[in-house]
Amino acid sequence: MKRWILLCLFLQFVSGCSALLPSPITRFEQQTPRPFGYLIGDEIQHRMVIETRQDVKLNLDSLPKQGELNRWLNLNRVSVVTDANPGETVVELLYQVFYAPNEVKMLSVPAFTLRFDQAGKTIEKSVPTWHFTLSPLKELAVRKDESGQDYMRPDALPTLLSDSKQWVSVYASLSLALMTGLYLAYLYGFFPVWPKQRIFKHALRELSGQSQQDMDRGLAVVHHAFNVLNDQPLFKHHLPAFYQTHTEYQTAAEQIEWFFNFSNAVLFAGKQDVDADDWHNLLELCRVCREIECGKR
Amino acid sequence: MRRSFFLRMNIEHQLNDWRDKALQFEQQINCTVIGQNQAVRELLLAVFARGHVLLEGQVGVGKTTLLRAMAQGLGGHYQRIEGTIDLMPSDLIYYTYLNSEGRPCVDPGPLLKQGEQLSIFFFNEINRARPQVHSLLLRVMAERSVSAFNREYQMPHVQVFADRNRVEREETFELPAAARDRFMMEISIDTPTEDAVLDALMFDPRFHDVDTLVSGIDNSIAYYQLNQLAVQIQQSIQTSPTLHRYALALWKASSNPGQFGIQLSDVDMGQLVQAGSSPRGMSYFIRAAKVRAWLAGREMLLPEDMQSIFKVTMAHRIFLHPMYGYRREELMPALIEGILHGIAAP
Repeated sequence: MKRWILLCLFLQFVSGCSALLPSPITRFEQQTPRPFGYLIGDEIQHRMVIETRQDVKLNLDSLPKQGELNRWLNLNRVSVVTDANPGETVVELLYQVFYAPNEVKMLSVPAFTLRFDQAGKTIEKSVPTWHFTLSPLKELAVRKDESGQDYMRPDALPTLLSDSKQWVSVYASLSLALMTGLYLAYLYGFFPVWPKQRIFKHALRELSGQSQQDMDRGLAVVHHAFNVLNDQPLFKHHLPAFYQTHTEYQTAAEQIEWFFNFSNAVLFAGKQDVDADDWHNLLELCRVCREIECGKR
Repeated sequence: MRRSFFLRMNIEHQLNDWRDKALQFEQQINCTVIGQNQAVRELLLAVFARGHVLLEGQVGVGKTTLLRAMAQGLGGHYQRIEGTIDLMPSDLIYYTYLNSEGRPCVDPGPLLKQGEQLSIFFFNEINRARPQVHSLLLRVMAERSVSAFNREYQMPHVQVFADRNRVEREETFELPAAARDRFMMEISIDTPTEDAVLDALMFDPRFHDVDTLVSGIDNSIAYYQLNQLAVQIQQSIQTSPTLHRYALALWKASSNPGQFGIQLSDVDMGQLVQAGSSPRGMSYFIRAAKVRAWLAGREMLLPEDMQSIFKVTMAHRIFLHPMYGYRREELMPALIEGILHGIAAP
């Protein structure tokens, strides 16, 4: 008997020394906004701060699903932040109400149950229903309009968002496109009145009024055309540089070479025996250059 | 009629032979002084146009070697003098000494020593000599004669080659305008830029001994025939009225570039040029251009001949207003470019 008493005392002593196991959920705090003064379309944010033991994990499937909860309540956003502090989970739920009451009405966000997993076991924590009141979106006294219909007063139009940046971008793009188009048109010779596109047209017109007896004058006219095109006097030994800046005239290189040799012979070496072929070649060179400046070659 | 035809054919034949010799001579000089092809060509033009030459460049770029090589190739007698601040005109004409018997003697100086056989007078570092010496040179260059010991000494074949370096300005005397105008060309000698040339100059022992290098040049040009040859060249190259108009426009533009629409940045074109090229300068210009046409195998003078030697014959004889003098190195090339790119022919 005495032994039994000692055994009981020993067991009591041992059980007294062992600490009690802590609860899996050490803290559950639901932070809710004011429960009144809402109108149709308002958003309501609920926040839950939950502290659990390290081995306890929130089962995300237990959270309400984003989307339409009932005909007047939407859950717009569900966010879960875990382990900001060890064992802490923060759940944020953003509701939006679409109820249009005729008078102040009490509604409630439905309750749900959170589930936590711990070593294959499930721990539940219920989140209670949250009640709030919704106000009507209409005047205090219902008025009638002139035709006896319910008076519906629209709200003031909202201020439009500024779209000046977008318009600037549009104008810039259009300007760039226009300039590109103009440049292409210039390159293809679509501007007949453009001075650079009329150099050899003028030269041709001048040559047409002359004959091979005016060879010196004719050569001077073509020289002048090349000088204007080149923006500075063009001499035979400058031709390689000229072709680099006016690549389109490379196609007439042979005729241009002939022209400068012939011009040197006539103007500087006193060549007298010019014939109709030379005059024809000069006119032909001018025609070829006219086609090049028009973009036809 | 027939005689004159054969005479003309003979002259033409001679000129062709001389052209071959000249081009061969040029090739030899280019092998001796590498990386200076343009300067060599310009010197060649001056030799056959019988003009005096002033070389300018940095120290050690080969100015003296180039002139020595030309002198070696031309043959004849050659005299050289170094410009110093205490050099006096009399030092060029005579020098005095005591002979072995202790009696005072007077001997001809470098200008008179070779008499009429003097073909090259090489004045090294000319800007170190005093203006009095420059004055003596004026007559030598213009008239190829000098007065001394109560008589005239003629040097009909002399050609003056002078050089100056552009680095040092202390204890130097700027050449007076009259002296500069008597030089046909002022040739700028720059350091070669091609890697292969620089490498050869550093490592090829052939270029380390200048005396041996220069002595390897053949004396293929008879200096005493150059004056007559130069006359024949000038007579054989034809010029046209169109070219005359072009040359006239170039001349006028060298005096009054603003009238020809030439503009330079930050420059009042009406005040830029104090004096343009002189008639003598234009004569030198055309003479050199004709020699270029002859070397190219042509009988006609073209604008490209004039353009290629315009800078080297004109830049040193266009005098800028003192207000723009300090910008000369920047403005002169721009002015020359502006003239060449601003005047058309025809």
